[in-house]
Amino acid sequence: MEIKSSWQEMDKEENLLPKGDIKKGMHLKKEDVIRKLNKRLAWKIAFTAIFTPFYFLAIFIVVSLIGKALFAFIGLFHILGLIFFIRQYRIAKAFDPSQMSVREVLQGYLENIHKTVRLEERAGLFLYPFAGSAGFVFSLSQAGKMDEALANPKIWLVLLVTLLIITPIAHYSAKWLNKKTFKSYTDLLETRLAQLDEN
Amino acid sequence: MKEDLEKKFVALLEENAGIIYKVTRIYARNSDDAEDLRQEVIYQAWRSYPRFKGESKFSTWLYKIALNTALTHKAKEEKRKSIPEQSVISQSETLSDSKELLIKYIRQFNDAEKLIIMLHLDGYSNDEIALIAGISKNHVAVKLHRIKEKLALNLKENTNGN
Repeated sequence: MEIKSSWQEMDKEENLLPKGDIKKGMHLKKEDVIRKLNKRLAWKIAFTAIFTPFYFLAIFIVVSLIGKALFAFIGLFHILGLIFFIRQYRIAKAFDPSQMSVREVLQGYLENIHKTVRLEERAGLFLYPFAGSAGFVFSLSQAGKMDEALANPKIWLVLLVTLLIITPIAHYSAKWLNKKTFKSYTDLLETRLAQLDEN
Repeated sequence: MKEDLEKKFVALLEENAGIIYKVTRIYARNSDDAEDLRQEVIYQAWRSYPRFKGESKFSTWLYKIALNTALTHKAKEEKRKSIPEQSVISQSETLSDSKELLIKYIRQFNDAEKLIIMLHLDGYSNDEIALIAGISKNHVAVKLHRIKEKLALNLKENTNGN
């Protein structure tokens, strides 16, 4: 059997790609992992852009200085996050597989997923205690018991215990969810990258 | 304007349908996956088409997209019992036994080896394969030598078996 000619003759077969399939593919609605990740990123941008002004608004509503400082910090942190997400989104959207080698595409996909997920998790871990404290201070301030509460060591203890419980739970839940969503895919990409490299 | 672009793209895809067909046959796990992969390749090609300036042949450009898509594609988890590939891809019925056999043997290679042998059989030089894969020319030569040996052995065993 002449291998090369058999292979090349396949191109001459009839009906290899029906027109209906071409049209369907051009207007594909289904999303692959990367488009889902990009969509998630777009949602984060929208979500952050909508909610960040509220943190700055809260600076004027909260009476206590601690509350103001916490909300200012969270607001600024969200602006930094917004800048990162927009940057990451633009990089992801500019990704063009027709101009890159298979190795570059595999590495690019892996980097995109790892970078986004890692930053999300680290930012979350850093932000949860501040967000929790801000919420706590905000509710005390709304109840009008701010000075009284801040003078009570039990209140501080409750806040500390709450943060110690909530922060790891939130962090590990986010990690678990990311692992569930992306681990099998990144494993697959890494395997294929290793196959390219192996001798 | 957009209609013209669409018409031209469809015509070019039809001319080069063999590339998408072969990449799909080699990489897809089953019929559902073949359809997903085929549409994903077309989607990616259509998305990138406005940036196609004709610096390379359309077939090379499409091959690159098809392979990049196949290697970043993840088949859906199979919820039902998998149906053997040969019996589910409709076009396969039109292929002769020797072509089916060739597809069967190439499918047994790992994903990187599949890429190299496909491009080689379609007449691409080691330099071009190295550029598309993103590995060195020497690496391509070493891999290709081994792949060809394995392929020849499989085909020989099959001939002796008959």
